[in-house]
Amino acid sequence: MKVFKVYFKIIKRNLPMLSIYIVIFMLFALLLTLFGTGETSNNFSETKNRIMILNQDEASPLTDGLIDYLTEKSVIVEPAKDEEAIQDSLFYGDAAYILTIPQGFSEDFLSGTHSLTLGKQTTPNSTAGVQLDMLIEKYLNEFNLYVEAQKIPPTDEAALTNTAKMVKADLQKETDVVWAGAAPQSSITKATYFFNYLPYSLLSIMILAVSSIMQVFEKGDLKKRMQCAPTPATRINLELLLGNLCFAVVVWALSAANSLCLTGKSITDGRMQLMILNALVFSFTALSLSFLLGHLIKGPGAQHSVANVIALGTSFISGVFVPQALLGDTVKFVASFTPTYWYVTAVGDIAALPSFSWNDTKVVFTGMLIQFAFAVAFLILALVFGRQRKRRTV
Amino acid sequence: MFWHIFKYRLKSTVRDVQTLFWTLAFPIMMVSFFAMSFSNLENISEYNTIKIGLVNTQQYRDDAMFQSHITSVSTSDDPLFAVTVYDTKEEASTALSDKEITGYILKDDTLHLFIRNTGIDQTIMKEFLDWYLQTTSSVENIIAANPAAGTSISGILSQNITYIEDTVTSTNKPNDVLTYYYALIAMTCLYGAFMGSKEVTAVQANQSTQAARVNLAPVHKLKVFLSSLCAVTLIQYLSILLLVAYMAFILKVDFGNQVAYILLASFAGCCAGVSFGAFIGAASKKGEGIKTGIIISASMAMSFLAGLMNAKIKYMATKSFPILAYINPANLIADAFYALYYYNTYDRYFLNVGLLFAFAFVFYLIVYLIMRRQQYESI
Repeated sequence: MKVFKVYFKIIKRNLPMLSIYIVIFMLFALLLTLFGTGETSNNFSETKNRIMILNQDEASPLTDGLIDYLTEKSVIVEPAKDEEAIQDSLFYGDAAYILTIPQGFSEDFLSGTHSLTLGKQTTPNSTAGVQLDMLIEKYLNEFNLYVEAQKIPPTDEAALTNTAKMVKADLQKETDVVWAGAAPQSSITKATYFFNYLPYSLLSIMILAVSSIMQVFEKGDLKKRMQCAPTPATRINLELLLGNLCFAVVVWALSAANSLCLTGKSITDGRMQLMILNALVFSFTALSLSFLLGHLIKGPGAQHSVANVIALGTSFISGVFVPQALLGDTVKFVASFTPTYWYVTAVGDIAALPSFSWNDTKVVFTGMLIQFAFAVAFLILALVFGRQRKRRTV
Repeated sequence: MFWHIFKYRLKSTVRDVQTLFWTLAFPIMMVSFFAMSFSNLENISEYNTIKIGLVNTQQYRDDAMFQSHITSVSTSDDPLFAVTVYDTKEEASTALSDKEITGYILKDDTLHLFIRNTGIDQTIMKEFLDWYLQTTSSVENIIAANPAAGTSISGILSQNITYIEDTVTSTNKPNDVLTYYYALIAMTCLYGAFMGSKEVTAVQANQSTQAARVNLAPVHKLKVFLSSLCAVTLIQYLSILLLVAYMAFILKVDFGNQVAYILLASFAGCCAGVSFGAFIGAASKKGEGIKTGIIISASMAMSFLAGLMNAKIKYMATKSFPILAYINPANLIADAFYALYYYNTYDRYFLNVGLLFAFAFVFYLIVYLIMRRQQYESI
């Protein structure tokens, strides 16, 4: 086990660098979970968005009713003083949506011409923007329905006030959502985000660390000394692999510990166990990929580029940063040739597990199995390359 | 002498084929991955048809209006729902647990939606049903008050009125996806740090044998250093221009159309990146591994805060620590491009570019202070 021992000596010598990688990339996953989430959650619990209303119109049952409805469904932010302050509040997220009711809007709306529109400023493509658009449009559509069907004249204050009441009552109506089978257990949304972001960190750490360690074996006297030893190449490779495996397990254990601390979940939670198991399988896959790359990458010039292309690139197309549901079919097809895609799919499946019956968990284990198959394939390639490289140089 | 060293540093960088390949190819590969994953974001309406179930209850059979609504959303070229009608609740329930359908609707005196998990599809189903309930409630109210009004209702409902419009003061619409692209340019600029660090290593006699030889020559060290830095900055600048051209002409990423400003911002980014590397190279006396580690981690961390992985992080970072917007070179680079694209005035753009040059100056000043009059007694 000489090679195995040397491996740990190298790790010890490179500990500062390795810890930089581990700390930085773990921090990414943590920060993304803490700050990058919340807005994209798509459960039924209504989120209240922050809205700033700049009302330039006179008070009327229509605008009063709309503002009343929005007050109920969102958080109202005090209107800012000038244009710049308004822009700032949007930029810094104090208000997610700025609604301007132009002067004469009610009159125009009630007369049926609809030539004046409400003005909005919002962060593009944000969930808050879409949700508030829907709320406002729903309200105005309903109001318009009453006004036009009943031919309410714009001057009939009493009828309009009554209409505002009716619209409000109508919009209270909601579908009764029933959980078939088991009701959802305690929410693991936060953990889902963390594990969703994890592959980027794991891949980056593994590729950067493993390839730096492997490079030590690939150059100089150490390589020559190893080559004149009567140890078969495969044995050297397997011992190296064992060393790498220990490293992978340490990194995985750290991330599992992180996930438990971050979310405050107990290890006894079934879905957390599956998440952590999934991460372990992915760690092995990342490790064998790094092992293969360690044989292929020559020199530090390529190391960081390869690490970045593989870690960041596959993360993007596999749905780590952009939700899988938003990816196109072609992209998903391409991504299905990467283990990251199957890892992310499994995370989604675990989060959505209705029960722990074999029928439900089957997909999760299939995902893990596919990742494992990738691991084996990478490993075989790595061992083949390891042998060939040796033969060529002797 | 300046041009002599410049020429040879240029040659030696170009001949390092592997590094050159990665310098040029790496950002292009990255941005292609980005473009792939964003390709669908622009036409997000392409939702897949959702498979839903419907229990054939008495109330459902009696409600012609609900039936016609269901039919209208399930029978077009690209329908929202694909509906399967089940005779009993049990059948629908089995289909749900076998994952044949995403959820099923049961109509008695009100609407019930049965689901097993949450997601976008389930949310769309609920929104549809909510909308139906609310509209029918209005319709019932109207007819109750005035039965004659019923005839005009479907006409009113089917008209498509625009109630809300964007009032953006800028000519260009704000676009989240651009944050990712601009952050990627920032990251590529910062990766120029590897070259900067390499050049510093190449002139410090205690760090490489080549540098020991260079130090013997009777040339002012600053001159050697300056010309080699110019050489790598040139190469790095060309690679950034290639990237920007690829993004602008092949991927059609929107940069606005002030070409000269774009070139200036790219150049400022390059200078900041290379000088950052030179700073790390001079400040750290440790081996190459540690330097690489520091550069990778620092540039990734800065790009991360500039919104490389999640555009929201950029907002959160600048909101929580406003100072970060001004001291993070990656954010400055990305923000310079964004300001150019989004704002009509150039104040913010010039602030960003100016700060980038200031950074480069400060980094080089520190490098100079570290390296000046460095003498080696014995190496």
